[in-house]
Amino acid sequence: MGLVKTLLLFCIGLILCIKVAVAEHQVVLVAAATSPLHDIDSVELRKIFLGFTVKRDGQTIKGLRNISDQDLNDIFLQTVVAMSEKSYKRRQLSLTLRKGLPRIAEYDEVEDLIKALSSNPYSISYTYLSPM
Amino acid sequence: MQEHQTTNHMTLYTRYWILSAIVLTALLNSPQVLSRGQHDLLLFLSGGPAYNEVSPESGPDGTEFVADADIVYSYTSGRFKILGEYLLSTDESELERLKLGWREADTIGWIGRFHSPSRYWNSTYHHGQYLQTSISRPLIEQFEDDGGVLPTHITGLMLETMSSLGGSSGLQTTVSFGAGPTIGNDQLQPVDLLDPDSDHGAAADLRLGYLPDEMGDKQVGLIMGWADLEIDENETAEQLGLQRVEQYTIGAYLDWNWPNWKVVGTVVYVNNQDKLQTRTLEDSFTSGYIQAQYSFHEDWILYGRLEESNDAEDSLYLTLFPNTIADRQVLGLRFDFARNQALTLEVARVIEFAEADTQDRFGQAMLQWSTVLPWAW
Repeated sequence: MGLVKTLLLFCIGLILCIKVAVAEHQVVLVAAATSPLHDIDSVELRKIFLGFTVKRDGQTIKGLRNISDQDLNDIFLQTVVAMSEKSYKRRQLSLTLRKGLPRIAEYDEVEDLIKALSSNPYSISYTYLSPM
Repeated sequence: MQEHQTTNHMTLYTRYWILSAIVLTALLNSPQVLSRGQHDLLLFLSGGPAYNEVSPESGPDGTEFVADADIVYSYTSGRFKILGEYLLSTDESELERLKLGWREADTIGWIGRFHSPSRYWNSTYHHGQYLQTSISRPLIEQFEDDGGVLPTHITGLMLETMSSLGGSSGLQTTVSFGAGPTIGNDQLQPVDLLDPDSDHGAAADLRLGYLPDEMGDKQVGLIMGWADLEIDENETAEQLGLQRVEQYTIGAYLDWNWPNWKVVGTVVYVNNQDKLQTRTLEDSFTSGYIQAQYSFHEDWILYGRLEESNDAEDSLYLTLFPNTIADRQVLGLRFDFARNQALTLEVARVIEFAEADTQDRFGQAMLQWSTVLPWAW
């Protein structure tokens, strides 16, 4: 777990601007250490996770969904996309059916999420601020 | 109800076996629900009994079992996209959509076979039965081989784009141009990519949608279409000396929702220039529907739909399609359960155009199980 914690803390070193405080947890956006992403506002964040195109430096920002924790998932649904899980999943399916847009990638293991973030500097996700 | 004509490349017996195999394979394999990469595969399954009460003059009651497997595949690599949809059912097997696309920001250009953008319901639900609340679809949204009287499949070019209007609102524009269907015997015949022919006239469609929140799903808009429909072995047309029909459509649609409520509706005015050998006749009719649904519980939806047509009984064009639904009242109840599964019960009162200015009225009841199994890699 030591390596995972180190990588996670390194990623969290690039904390972006949005924080949500829920009880004792703060949720932050995370990206790879090499990522040039700095300022993403709430509207852009919602667009990214609803399948719209948001670009930086000519590159499309890819959202990665962290479903490793149920409370974290609830925060994401409430504050980022403002939908229930059911509505969000239907919307994803509908976009694929109508326009062939790929569904947002989901990760139920933090290690896999970190690998995915590290492999694409134009991807972002979210996690708790406190070490896991 | 117009009898389903088979549009297929295999026998009914073979389709039943293949459908059964697909359902068993899909249900016995744990689907990779987590989306990872740029390939997406959606398998929409549905099936159930349908009962049609037929009037005593026409014969005994009709009960049938209908099952569908709609396979949707998409691949994205950078700006390039492929989207295909193949429908295998107890009535037909058909390559419904196959299109190649190029995406630039929120604009996508397509080439291939697609659903007409001026049919809003079809552009939203396609053949994805699970995502559509009701079992049946309205007359003016029926696909050609299900008794539809308006073009629903176009082969050509389509452009979709979203423009911001300031604030959070947006204007969605979808325009297409390509080959439309011909008027075959009792039904419209779109271009079949697996067996193409060259007798199809042109068709153009436009849909303009206003979205108060461009990231939301509420919208209201205008739809327009034009199609040059060639006659291809339609007996009634040949008896009348009808050679082709130039069809214009204009209408409006609404798709709106509130907490627990959703309303979707369309009204279309159809004008047909019926080209005979020595003269042109004109006929027109208006058709529309409105469907309202209420979620009285997280997993339960009660819905109702009214469909009406005006001046349809005087339309020369509609005489080419016997047993066309004119009016319908629908009531249904849907229950969502487990992961991506639904059970829906629907009853309807149908008024259908029969032959020689007569109408058939009958009741209809349907029960359907539906699901979607998503894969990604």
